[in-house]
Order: sequence, then C-alpha cells, then structure tokens
Amino acid sequence: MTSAVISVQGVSKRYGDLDAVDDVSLEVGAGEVYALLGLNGAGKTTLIRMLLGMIRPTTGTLEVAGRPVPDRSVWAEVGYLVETPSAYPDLTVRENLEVARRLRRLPVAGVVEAAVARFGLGQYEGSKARTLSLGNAQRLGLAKAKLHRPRILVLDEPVNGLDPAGVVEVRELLIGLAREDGVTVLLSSHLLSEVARIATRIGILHEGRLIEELDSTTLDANTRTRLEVVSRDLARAAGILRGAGFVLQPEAGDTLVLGGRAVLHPEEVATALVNGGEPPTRLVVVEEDLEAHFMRLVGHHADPTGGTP
Amino acid sequence: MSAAELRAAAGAELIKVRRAVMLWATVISFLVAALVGAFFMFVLQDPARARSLGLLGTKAQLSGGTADWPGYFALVAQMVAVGGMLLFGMILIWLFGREFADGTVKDLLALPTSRAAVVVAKLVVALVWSLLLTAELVAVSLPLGVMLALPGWSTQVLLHGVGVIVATACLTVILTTTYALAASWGRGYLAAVATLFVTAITAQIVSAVGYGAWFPWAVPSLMSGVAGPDQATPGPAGILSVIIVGVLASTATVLWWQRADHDR
Repeated sequence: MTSAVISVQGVSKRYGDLDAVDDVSLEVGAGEVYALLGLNGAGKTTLIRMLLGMIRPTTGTLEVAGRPVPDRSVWAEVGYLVETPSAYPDLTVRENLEVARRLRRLPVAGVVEAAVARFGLGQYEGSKARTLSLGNAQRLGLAKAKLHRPRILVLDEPVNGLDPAGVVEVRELLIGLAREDGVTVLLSSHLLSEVARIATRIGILHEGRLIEELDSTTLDANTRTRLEVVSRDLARAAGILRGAGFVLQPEAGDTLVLGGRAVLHPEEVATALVNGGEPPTRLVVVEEDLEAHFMRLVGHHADPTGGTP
Repeated sequence: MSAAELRAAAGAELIKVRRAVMLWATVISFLVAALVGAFFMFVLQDPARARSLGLLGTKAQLSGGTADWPGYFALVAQMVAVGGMLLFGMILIWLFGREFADGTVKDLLALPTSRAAVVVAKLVVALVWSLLLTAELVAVSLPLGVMLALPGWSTQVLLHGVGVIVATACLTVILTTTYALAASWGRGYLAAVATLFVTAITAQIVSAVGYGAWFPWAVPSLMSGVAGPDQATPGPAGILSVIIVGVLASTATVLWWQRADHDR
C-alpha cells in the first residue's frame, strides 16, 4: 500500500454504555477505494463523521492527507456525502450547487455547469430540490461532493436510492476517479455485491469493531453463492438433481438450493431437469448478501440470539 | 475566520433567504403592523368618528396613547419591541433551525469556510434583515402619519422617534441571538420556539411587576416606552445586560457549532 491518505488509529466513540466505534484502526492509501461494510448501526456513519470532524472521538487519532482531524485546512481537498443526501428544498438544483460553490469558495465560471452536466442533472437544473426523486437527490449530493474536484472522497452509502443505471454510473465514476485521477475514496455500504465491484479493500465493521479487513479478491473467495431452483414438483426435481450428482443444501421452503458445481454450471442443472421431464420454473444464481456473509463471519448461525445492532 | 470566509457564508445565506417564504411573511407582517399602527392613530384622533364608522365598538375605551407624532412614534417603537421580538426571533430560529430540519447542517461542517463564519454570517443576515424590516415599518408609517395629518411634527420629534425605534430594534435583535443558540442546541425549531415564548411571556410578567430594567428581554419594551410614561427608560445597566446576553449567546452558538458532536 502507498502512504496513507486516510489514517485512523485506535479510534473509539463511546455514548454512555454504548461503544458506537470501538478501537478501530485502518489506513487508506492514495488511489484506493476502501469500503466500510457493516449492518445498520455497525458504526460506519459514526466513523465517517469522526473522519470529517463532525464527531470527536473518545480516544484515538484520525488524519486526513497527513493532517490531524479536525484541521480545517484539509477540507478543501475532501468531498463528502453523509447518510441520506440533503438539499435546501425550496432552492433549485442549480441554486443548491451555487450555495455549495460559494461555501467552498470556488470560482464562478463553469463549476456549477460542469457538475450539472457530469451528473446528468441538466433536466432538473431549474427544479426545486423538494421535487427530486431519491435517486436524483443522491445525484445532487454527489455533485456537491465532487464540485471542487477533491482528491479525497468520503461517501456514506453513495448508491442508496439510485436506479440500476445510476448505480452503474456511480460505480464507473468512482472506479474512474480512483484509477485515472488517483482520487482516494472511502465509502460505506451494506451492499456486498456493489462493494465487491468497486472496492480495492474492504473493512467489515460489526458492533463498532473492525472485525475483518480484506482486499476485493479475498472477499470474492469468501463470498458464498448458491443456485436456487423452483419447479412444479420440487420432490421430483430434487430426485432428478441428486440422481445427476448434484448436492442439495438443506433449506426449508419451496425452493431447492444447490452449491458447488451447480453454481458454476447452472446450465447443467437446467439440462438435467429438462431431460428428466421436470423443467425449472425459476433458476437463479444468488450471491449471498452482506448479512449472510456477515453472520457466517461472526458465527451467528450458531447463535441466532447473539443479536446484531 | 477571514473576511473572505464571511463573505462566502453570507453569500450562501442570501441565496437561501431570497427563496424563503419567511422573507415575504416578515415583509407582509411589518406592512400589516404599519397599517394597524395608522389605524390605531386614526381611531385615537376621533373615537366618536371611529364609532360612527363602525371601526370601534360602542363600549370600547382607548387609552395609553395620544394622536400626535410623538405618540405615533412611540406606538411604532412598541410594535418593534413586542412584534419584533417574535418576528426577529422567528427569523433567527428559521435561519438556524432549518439546517437541522432539512438535514443540511452536515453540509456546513467540513468546508474551507469555517463553522464560525457560517454562524456569524447567519447572525449578520438576521441583523440586516431585521433592521430592513424596521426601516420598512418606519418608511410605511411616515406617509400614513402625514395622511392622518397628525399634529406635533418637528425634526426633533422625528429624530427622537426614529432613534428610539432603531435603538429598540437593535436591542431586540441582539437578544434574539438566544434563539440561535436554542435552535442549534435543540437541533431544530422546537426548543427555540419554546425559548422564544418563555422569554417573551416572562418579560411581560417581569415588566408588569416593575422589574423590567433587571430582565434583559424586557429592556427593549422599556426602551420603546410600552410600560407607560411613568416607567423609567432602561439605563446603561439594562442596555449592558442586553449586550452581555447577545455576546454570550453568539459566542455560545459559535462554540456549540465548533465543538458539539454533530451526530444527527
């Protein structure tokens, strides 16, 4: 890893008896896309707010671009989006960007126009922010975060509310920024599949603790996928698949679940069922979501009463 | 906090204010206040005429004012003291409370423009806004007074009357910084509105029992003469207490924005 652009050392935040963030240390190098993964309440937003100087840590130190938080001189280099995007509802999209431009003390010429064009907001430029869909409000939030072309981006759930095209757009934007412009990105998400596509490194937060750090390829290897099959006669379909050498996982309900070879070659499953006279009515490869991966990680399958935040 | 930061923050505030319903609500409120003041003078000039026109109930009694220019200026000053505390207070509550209600406060916290500049810009905008409203009230009231042909006009009366009105407005605006603190600390409108009502009601009670000069929020009313001609105007101690409240509330608001945990 290159020298750390973002450094978090032994950071904790305690509210009464609750450890919102508990002794977290991590570093993000230049040009990296680091994703904080965790369930709601895991401490992602608290950590991001501490990194942005909005919350004081109970213990520990945070640095951004080599300067201790909350040294205000660094904020000119940082763009951010925290939780749900917010905008002044009675101002237009353009006016909201103009407010951000003034507060960031950017030149008048071209900055707002470029942001409007970059984030596909031209159609809504004159619309009041209160009329925007969640997706377009998210675009506006990202446009504000990118307005000053920061070299560090801190984004809390950046694809929340975006339609599939928007998700792809943000994904390509972030990957492009990191690879081509060397922008360092720290983002948080609970969407495992999305994070796996974007992040170069991933930190998993649970109950305020950083319980695992891994790079994206390691995550892929650790992520379990399964093939779900539905047919008109499930018992008959199960018999056919067992006969064809597939191993069925013990799952309740009206779906057959297969792993291993079936996931790699779902077409063989389909062929076996069709040839056996029990064609599938539904056949889909499902990547386990964060919760499943996470529960496996912390062993909550064995202790369902263990509770998560 | 540099002048450039303050200019940037004030510019951003002006964009927000320009589009605000609050702006026009306050302009109309002070316009109505001017009309009500003139109406009161019209009735006071000749109660019998007002009764005959149906503008005054047959049993209504008017007291506490004279239908002349000094009385008219005193009435306008009282409107600024009482109505101003509510309206100027609402302006500050809106300027600060909206950032929490709209969830936009987080976009003001990690910027090259300091939080202190953001807070001071809001206070300055509120001050200018409130003084412009006062100017509107005076500007509308003067021609209405001329139309009513009120007696007792002189340059000295004008300067003294307008001076009291402006002084009352300034004292009122200084006190409303308390509501900026309450809106910030309460992270929204509710705590600030509650503070506004508590201080306004307490000021009335304290004034009624004759201790207004010792309670900062009653000082603007005393300055305006709302307590009657037999009540002394607030001395330097009263004015100083208002300034102390303003400095403390403004400083506390800046410190709160700089040091509080912004976790919502």
